[in-house]
This record gives sequence, structure tokens and C-alpha cells, in this order.
Amino acid sequence: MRQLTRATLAIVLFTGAAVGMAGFATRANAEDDEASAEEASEETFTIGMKNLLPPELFDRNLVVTVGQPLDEAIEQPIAFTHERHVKTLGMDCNYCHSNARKGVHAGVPATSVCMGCHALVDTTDRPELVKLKEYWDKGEVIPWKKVHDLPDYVYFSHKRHVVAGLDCQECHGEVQNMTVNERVAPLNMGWCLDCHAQHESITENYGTKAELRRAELKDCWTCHK
Amino acid sequence: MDGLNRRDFLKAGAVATSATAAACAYDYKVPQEEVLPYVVNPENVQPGLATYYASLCNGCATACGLVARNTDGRVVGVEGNPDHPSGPGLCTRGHFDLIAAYGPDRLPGATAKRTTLSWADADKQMLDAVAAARAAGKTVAWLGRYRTGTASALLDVLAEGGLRRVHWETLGVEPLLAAARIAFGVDELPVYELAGARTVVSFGFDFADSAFGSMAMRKGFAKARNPASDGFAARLVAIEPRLSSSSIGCDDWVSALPGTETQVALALAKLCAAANGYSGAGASLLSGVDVNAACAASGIAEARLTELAAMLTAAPSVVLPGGPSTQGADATALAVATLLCNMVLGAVGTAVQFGRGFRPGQVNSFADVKSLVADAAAGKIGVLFLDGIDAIHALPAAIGAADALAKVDLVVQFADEANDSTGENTLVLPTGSGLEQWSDASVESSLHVLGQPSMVPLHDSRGLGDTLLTLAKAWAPAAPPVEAVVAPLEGSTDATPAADSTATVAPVAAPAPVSTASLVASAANFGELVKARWTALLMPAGANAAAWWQEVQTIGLVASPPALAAVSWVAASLPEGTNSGSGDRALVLFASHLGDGRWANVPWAQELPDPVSTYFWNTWIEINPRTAESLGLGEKDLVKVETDHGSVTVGWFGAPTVREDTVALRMGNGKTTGKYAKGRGANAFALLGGEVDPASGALNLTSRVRITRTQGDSGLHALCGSMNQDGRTIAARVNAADAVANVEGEAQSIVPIHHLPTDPRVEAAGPVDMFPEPQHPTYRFSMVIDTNACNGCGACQIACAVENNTPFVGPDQLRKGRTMSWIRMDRFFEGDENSPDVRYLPAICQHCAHAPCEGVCPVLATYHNLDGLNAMIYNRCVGTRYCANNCPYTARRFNYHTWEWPQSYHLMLNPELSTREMGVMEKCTFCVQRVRSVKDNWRDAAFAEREPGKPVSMDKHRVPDAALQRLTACAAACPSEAINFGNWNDTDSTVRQLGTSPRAYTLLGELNTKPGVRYMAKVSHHAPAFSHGGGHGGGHEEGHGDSHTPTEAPGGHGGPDEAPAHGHGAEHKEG
Repeated sequence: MRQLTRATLAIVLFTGAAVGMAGFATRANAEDDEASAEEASEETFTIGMKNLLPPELFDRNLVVTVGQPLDEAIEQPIAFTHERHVKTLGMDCNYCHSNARKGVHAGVPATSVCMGCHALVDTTDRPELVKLKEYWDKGEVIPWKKVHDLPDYVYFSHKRHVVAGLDCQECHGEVQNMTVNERVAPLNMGWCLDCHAQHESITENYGTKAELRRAELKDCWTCHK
Repeated sequence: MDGLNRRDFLKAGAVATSATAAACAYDYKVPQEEVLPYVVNPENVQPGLATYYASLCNGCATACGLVARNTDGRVVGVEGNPDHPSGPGLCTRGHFDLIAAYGPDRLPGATAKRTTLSWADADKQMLDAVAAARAAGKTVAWLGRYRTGTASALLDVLAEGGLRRVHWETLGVEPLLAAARIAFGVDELPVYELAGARTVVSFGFDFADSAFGSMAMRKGFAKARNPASDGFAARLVAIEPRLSSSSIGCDDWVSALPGTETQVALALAKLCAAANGYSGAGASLLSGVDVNAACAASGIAEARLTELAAMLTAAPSVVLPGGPSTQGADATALAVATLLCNMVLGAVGTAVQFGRGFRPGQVNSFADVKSLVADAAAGKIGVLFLDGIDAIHALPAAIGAADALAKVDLVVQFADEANDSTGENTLVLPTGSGLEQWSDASVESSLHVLGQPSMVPLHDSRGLGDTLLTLAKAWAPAAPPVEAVVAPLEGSTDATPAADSTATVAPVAAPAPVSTASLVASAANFGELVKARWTALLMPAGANAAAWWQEVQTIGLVASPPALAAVSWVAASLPEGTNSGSGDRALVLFASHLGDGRWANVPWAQELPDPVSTYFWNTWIEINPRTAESLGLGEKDLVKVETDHGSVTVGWFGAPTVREDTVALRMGNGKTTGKYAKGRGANAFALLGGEVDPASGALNLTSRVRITRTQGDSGLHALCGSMNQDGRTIAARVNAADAVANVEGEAQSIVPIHHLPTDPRVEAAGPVDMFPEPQHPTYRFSMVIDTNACNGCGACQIACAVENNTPFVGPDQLRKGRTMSWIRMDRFFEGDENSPDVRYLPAICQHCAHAPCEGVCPVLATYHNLDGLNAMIYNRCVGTRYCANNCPYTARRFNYHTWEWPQSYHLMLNPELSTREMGVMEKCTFCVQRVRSVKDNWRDAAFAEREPGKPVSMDKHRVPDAALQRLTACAAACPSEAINFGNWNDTDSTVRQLGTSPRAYTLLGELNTKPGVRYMAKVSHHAPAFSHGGGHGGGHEEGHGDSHTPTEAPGGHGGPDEAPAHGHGAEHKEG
């Protein structure tokens, strides 16, 4: 997935209308739909008069990708490392990103959360911690740069995905190993729909109603707002 | 292109384009956004999640409770507080007040001579001026609108120290308050409890709109008018020269010659007394009433009045007082006469309640205003505080407020925006929106509403209370007044307390005397003072203060069942007052949306179409079409309206709801300041002479006018393209007796439908569906709108605009019909010229199961989803507008421009949905963001209760009816609770019950669109009885062949396959 480059992004722009005309589709759906139809005689659901997501055509690169390009590191105001906090210190994601299980935004922790520990951490010869302390002392907001950025017309609820039992890593990558945070997923519509069509958590969570839930998850209004 | 299908072509095109793109090395970069966390996260605040604050609506003096929805630091929505005794719903004014909070004209801070001052400098200037005025023996005066609660208590403290207080409003309560004093010797307003009234006679009282306390009254009336609630449908009789928005749906319009309403009311009282043999107190006043003379003077046939008296005496009924259109020089006499009618009818104590201490604080008359202005003109006023009154605009020009204000040493104006009254000697102290600060109000002794700040102030404003506190601290009176909670009136308190008072009432302790002045010194700010005063006055003995205050803040009010008091008639004679003036026609003023000009600078208020003419952004007169014809007026002609005091030149609208000898002029416009108000229309108050009704001192809002046609183009454009329904059944009407007899869903439909003629060959072919039946496995979201409760007030429209980021487009674009409002208020004048039958129908996207729009969209941007919603995906829309052309309901709106939200309206945008750009179609979504949110909440609950290792229970997933009924913004806003939302698949849901009831029908059902919206027909006492002889379909198409909709609607509610009722004779115009 990491080959997505500026060139493909450009395609996206130039072919936006054409994609709209052709209709989106998920390639992965075709096989899965057949498989699930065989294993359970579940009811099938169609949204709208025509199939909005016909399976025969799908190129996920023909979909707008957002956020910073995958091949560019983003300089943050403080060189925060997830690796130290998660892998070395064993902190849970929810400790700082507590909103992820409560609301649409996972959120970045308030500086007070950092200082909950860092008030007790020695800052000698640790310039990044000095920066943190300066922000805190001045009462200034730390201007973190977004690594994952969805368009404003997308409704994405972290809570829904956390409650459904997804691991953070499924979208955000092996964050526990990252010293500089990078985006690993294209975050485009086809990529989202891949999971919405086939993720195993749907069957686990919804059992006999999984087909209905999969259909709901393919509804444009699930995410578009 | 043989052999190449469309997709292959597009694929090829895409590859070609990508090659081009690579060659150009197009450097596309997503803008880098920042994510800014809090330094310290405030309690209860989560980014992206709304926080709700129970607060107080500051839109008028009525003191309704509201719930403000704060998302990411900004209040982006308001709704009525369901815990408030007047229940859910919030009128247009509450929404305008929210929009006004984000107005671009708001001043950045205290301002004098167009320069921003620090608050310290402003305070010094104010206090120095006060000290100088007092030293020079000049008066320090207050001219403001009605105030109650702690602000009023602080004003009491200041008044004790010499402040001259005048509280007045254009659409005020002086006549009725004076009448209650004259008739019953009480110092409070009657509370009209309309829910049980079989017949309601109104002499112009605007009980469902501008009247003080309208929210409770219109709910009561909606209940009385609902045939399903108590087995009757109230009959509304209007005796007024122009039908107000409250009585526009009346059954009978008995219009009297303007100015003779008092005689009519007295004659009615006499006839009622004759009918029911009333001989109690006040009866002696009727001995001198000459019914014949009254009928002769008013032009009403005596038989009609006798018939009316018979109706009134036959069943519990109520007579309502006068309103803006009848507030003449005898306004108090009219109000007393209506109270006497109620006395005769035995309604006093039941439908007309006293003892609740219902009044908007101190009420002064216009005579007091005049004397204040005269003193100012004489140079006797040193400092004048102007609170919420744009004196130069809203006071009749004839009294010379402009000159008087210039002679005051310092005018301290409490206003967020500079207005017409802001002059060189004005110090403007912006008070901020009511949503930004502490406030409280109490218009009944048993009901106290707390206004808590719901967001951080946008500008450097300071609440009115804080300025009052500053004044009180600097200017403490010698002897602080002792205040107690307004005690119930003397007399028996065994009157029945309202049985249906809310479940959330908290006990109110016995009133303890509290001196506000003693609390002033210890209060650091107004919020603390409010808390201290509430704690002292309202907290039950022994309660935990912190816990109690927390609870009060959560509910937003302290209420106890109202105690009623019996009153007895004391008036020995009737007040005097006669109408005079020269001119050939009567002039009445009406306020639609802009009030007396208070909302003139709110563009959404300007844009909201007037409910009668559907005009916008202007001033116009309403005249009877026959008058217009006799004057030879062309549609766009201008008319000069002239009184003895001034003239305005405006456009006109031919409204059959105005008498031929009457002209109705819209008030509110004609301002000289304000980004949106400046230069719009003309000032109606220029025509008034400022005469008063001698008994109460109330401003005479009527006058005599001459009207002449003048040259020019009015530029007025009606948004509603049609005056009537052209014989179709868009807004249906049913007979009241039929409606009362058929309230259950088992009965047949009683709605007479005029179908469009269809080809007999089509009928012979039987039902054919072109489209596959959509699946609705869990929900079929539906809406039922009871047009019987709708008076076209526009609350749903403005609530929708706020919720859904709908822009205003301005008058030029509106004239091209480019309204962006998702709700169109259809207004139809049916009936004949003498008895107009006005019907309203809020028309929205019908969310058809077989939607004509969906099939024609070439890019599938619109489709029907599993929840029964007609979805609209903006990203996918390429703007062909085929859908709008194919929509039989004209529900779709096209963005001809990328509309702008000028600073700081953009802060009001609801982040739950996107704004739309040029070239994109949009329409009602059933507030899909709210649907999504409520489903999300229930999904959470289902996951929380999930048994380990097992799938989630789908039953627990399903959102219950109670959480859906008022879900959409329009349903939440409707003060009459006319709009219901819910899941049609749930057979017990409200929408299913109402939507299958005999009054329900679908719009243009013969088109087989199978809408998700159903309407309930208006109930009229004059509609012809329904005959079951003819076929009638068009009722409830839903569920045809849809295996997911388990039950069919009952008999008569069949689909369009049933024979449409051609030429059904039931819906003819009455003659």
C-alpha cells in the first residue's frame, strides 16, 4: 500500500468525476459475498435501486487519499516517540487517547496528561522534555501536526471501531514500534470499504445478522456526511 | 465506440489522464492540519462530542427553558427544555437569538464614538456620568424591555437609590395587565389554559406567536384542536380586522369594523349572559349594552353573534383578549370586556387562571415612555440606560425620541450591535448573547428558569447583570429593599393545581425574605449573585447547597405546581377609550419574524418567508385583493401609506385575510444601521402618532390611513408560487365531526383526495411498480406532520437551517427562487373571499420508497438506503439537477453558488455535517447526523450489555420510539408538536399510529412514490362531511409488496393501486 505516490494522488484529482460516473466498487467483495452466501443462507440486502458498489470494477487507487503523503515524515513540535511510551514503558493506548473509546475523535491528550507523569521526570539533557515543560509553563497549546487526516465530509467514529473490537494497529500500523509516527494506511474509501465488507469482527459481533450489518456498512451515509 | 462499454471507456480515460498528470508532475499536497489539544481538558468536554446545557431562552420575556448544544466550544443548536412546564419546542425567536450571538456586527467590546474602550474606562465613564447627573440634580433613567429574576432585583436596588425605571415593549402586555387590575383587582396577567376549550373566540390575541407566554398557549390550543386528544376539536372564532398568525387557521372569521371590537365583545357577553342566565358579578355592567347598536356599528349580523353565544355557552369555552391588530385607544376596555365574557362563561378560574403571579416583571406603559422621552427632551435626564430597545427606530417617530436622546448627557446602551439609537453621546456596553452568561427569569411565582452560560463569550462583552452589579456596588441605596418570592394572591388556594404539571418539579421552600442588596457586596460577579439569591430564595430547608445547585443547573429550572387563586369581579364600570383619526382605512401593524425590529439584523430572520405573503427581506402592506383591484394596483406597484403623522412607500400583497377597509403593515424593517437591516423596507413606526389608550397608557398600534398607488417597482417576490391548490389536495381538510368520530386507526381514511387524472389505460393495467421494492430490515424512518397544529410559524424552518448549515442567500437570489431552505412552508388560500380557509403544509423531502429523483441520477449520488432514507451524497453529485426536475414535491435545492457564512456565522456551523459547494444538490436528510448519533448511542448500549462470546442483541440495537419522536431538528423545534418522527416498521410507534389514523394521507399519493412522510389533514368545522361512497386512495402506500413492513395499513389505506377518487365532490369550496 505504500507505493501510493503523488502521481496517484494526482490521478485521483483528475479522474474524480470519472470515478463518480463509474461508481465505486470493492473487488474483495465479490469472492466474499459468494463465500458468505454459501456458508449461511442469510438474507441479502441491496441498497438503492442499483447496486451502489458493483463488485466487478474496483481500483482503490482511484479514490481520493487524504492526509500527508505516505512517504513524507512530518516534523512535530516535540519529537514524541510512541515506541518509548508503548513498547518500553508498556502504556496502554487508551491512557492518552482515552477519547478513542468514547467519541468520534481519538484526540491528542491534553498537556496536563503528559505532565501527569512528566512533572516527575528529569529533564536534564533532554531537550524535547524541556520543550514540553515550556509549553506547559506558558500554558500554550502544543501544535501537533496531523498524521491521519480524514476529509471534513467523512464521519468516522473511533468509538464505533474500538467497541467493535478492532485493534488500533489495524489502521494506524505498528505504532508501538514507531519513533516517528507515520501513516501506513491510504485511508481512502476503497480501503475503508475493504474492511466494511469483510472484517471478521462483523461476523463475531453480529452473528446471524452479519449480512445486514455488512450491507449497512456499505451504505454511503455510514461515512459520508 | 462499438464493443467498448462505458466502464472500459472510463478506465481508458483514467489511464490517459494519469499519464498526463505524471507528465505534468502535478504537485498535489494535502494541506497540513494541526490537531490542537487542550492544555488542561475541561471537565465533561470531549472533542467532537456535544455537551448540553439547560439554560434560558432570551428571545423574549416569556422565559422558556432551552437546552443548548455545545460542540467543540460553540453552541451550534438550541432546543426547548422538555423539563420546562411548557414542554419541548422552541419558537423562531429562540433560534434567532442563537444566530444573533454569531452576528458579524457584534461589537468587539465597550464602545463609545466608534472607539473600543476597556471595561475599566467604560465603567469609569458610566459611573462618572451617573455621579455627575446625580450631583446636578438630573435623573438617571432606565428604558428597557421586560426583565425578571435577579437582574430585576438589582434594578429594584438601583431604583431604591433613585433610578427611574421604565420597562416597555412594543408588543407588550399593558392593556391586559390593566384590565386584570380593573376587572379583578389583581396585579398579574391571566393564564389562558386553552387545552379544554371547545370554542375559542379571539379578538386578535396573538396567542400562538407574539403574545407573552405564547408557548404554553399554543400547545394548549394544539391539544384542544386535536380531535384525538379529548374527543373534540376546538372551534376558533376570530374577531379581528386582520387574521394574525395565531388565528389564521380559524374556523370562523367574524370580522368587525375596526375599532368596534369592544362593543362586539360586550354584546357577546350580554348574549352569553342571556343564553346561560348569568347574573353574577359584573352582570350589571351589561345592562347598558345595546346589542343592536353594536351589531349595527360593527357590521356583524346579530344572528351570527347569537349563534356564537350559543356555541360559547354550550360547552367549556374561552374568550381571548385583543392583540396587535386591535390595540387601539380602547385596548383596555376590550380586554376588560373579554374578561367579562369569560366571567359570564364561567371560564375564570378554569380556562382563565389567576394566582400564578404571571407577569413579565415590572411593566410600564407607553405613557411612561412618552413622559421619559419628554423629560429627556427637556434636558432633565443625565444618564439614560437603554436596554434592548432601539428607541429611535422602535418608538413612534412622532414622540421625538431622536431629538430627546441627543439631549441626554450620556446614553448607556446595552446592545451587542450598534443600532439606530447609537449616537455620539452613546456608550455601548455589549452584554453578549444570553448563551454566554448567567441570567435567570421568573414570570410565574412557581417557576424559575436559570440561564447558565453555554459557551465562552465570542467577544469582550459583559453580561447585563454584571454591569448592574457594578452599578449597584458603586451606587448602593441607603435602605436596601427586602424581597420575597412573589406570594400567591390572597384568597382561596384550593383551586385545582394543574394536574399535568411536569414530573420534574422540585419542592419550593416557603419564601424567606431576602435582601438582594445584602447579597450585592459579597458577590464577585453576577453568576455568584444569581446562585446566592436562588439558594436563599428557592433552596428547600436542609438541602445540600452544592448538590441542590448542581441539580438546578442540570434541569435548568425550579418549578412547583402552580397555585391558583379565586378572583372576584370588582369593576364597577368599564374603562373609556375611543378610536379616532382621519383617513379612509384602518391601519394595523403586524410582526412577522422580525418582531418590532429586534431580529432585523439576523439574515435568516429576514429571509424566512412571511407566513401570509411569503415575501422576505422587506416591508409591505397586506390589503384585501378586492381593495387592490379597486385601486387598480399592479402586482409590483408601490403604494404610499399615509397617516396624520407620516408616510411610507412600500409594496403590497393581496391577502384575503385582511378586511377590505383595513391595511396591515409589517413592522420591523426600515433601520438605518446593521449589515443586514440597513436600508431594508420602511419603518412602520413612522406612521404612528404615539397616542395612548387612556386606561392603561398602552400605545395605540392602530391608526387611520390613506393609501395611494405610486410609481415604481416594489421588487417584492412571493416565494410561494401559488395562492391556492388549483383544486388538488395538497393540504387536505376534513370535517371536525368526522375527525372526532374517527380517531382510531381501525377506521377508514376520511381524507377526501382529489387525484390528478390518470390515463384510463394505466388504471386498467392495475398497479405496476417500475422500481424494485426497497428493503427496510430494521428501520423505515418516517415522519407524520399534523397540519391541523401548524400555523406556519417557521420554527421548523429556522431550526432546520441552524441544524443543517443551510445558508441565507439574500433577496436577489431569493427573487430567482434560489431558496436553500430544506423546508418549504406551503400556504394555500382556499375558501371564498369572505371566509378564507388558510392551510399550511411544511413540505420537505418525502423520502419516497420509489423516489423519482433516484432513478434519474446518472452518478447514483442519491439513493434509498436500508433505513428508508433518501440519501444524498454530496461528493458524488455532479450537479445535473435531473433529480430536482424529477421531484414532484420540489424538495430539492441546488447550490447555484458556494454560499458564505460571513464572520462570525461560520462558528455556528454544525460540525456534524458538511457545508455544500456550488454545483451540488441538497435536500432534507431527516437529520441523518442525528439519526446516526442516536443509533450510535443505542449500539453502544447493546454492546455494553452483550453477553461474552455472543453476538450483540439486535433488539437492543433498535432505537425505541421515545428517542426518535422528536429527533429531527424540525420535530424538536415545533412548538405545537405537530411533527413526529419515528420508525414505521415499529407497529407501536407514534408515526405508525398517527400515519394510519383516519386523518392521515400522503402527498400526491397517486404518483406511487410511496413517501416516508405523511400528513394529517387540517380539521375544520366547515369542511363538508366525508362521504365513503367514493373511492379514495392515496393514503398509505408503504408496505406494498414490501415483506419487511409486516402489517398493511387498515382498510381504506390501501395503495395507489386502489381506484383513485376522480372528481370526488367532498373538497369543494364553501360558498
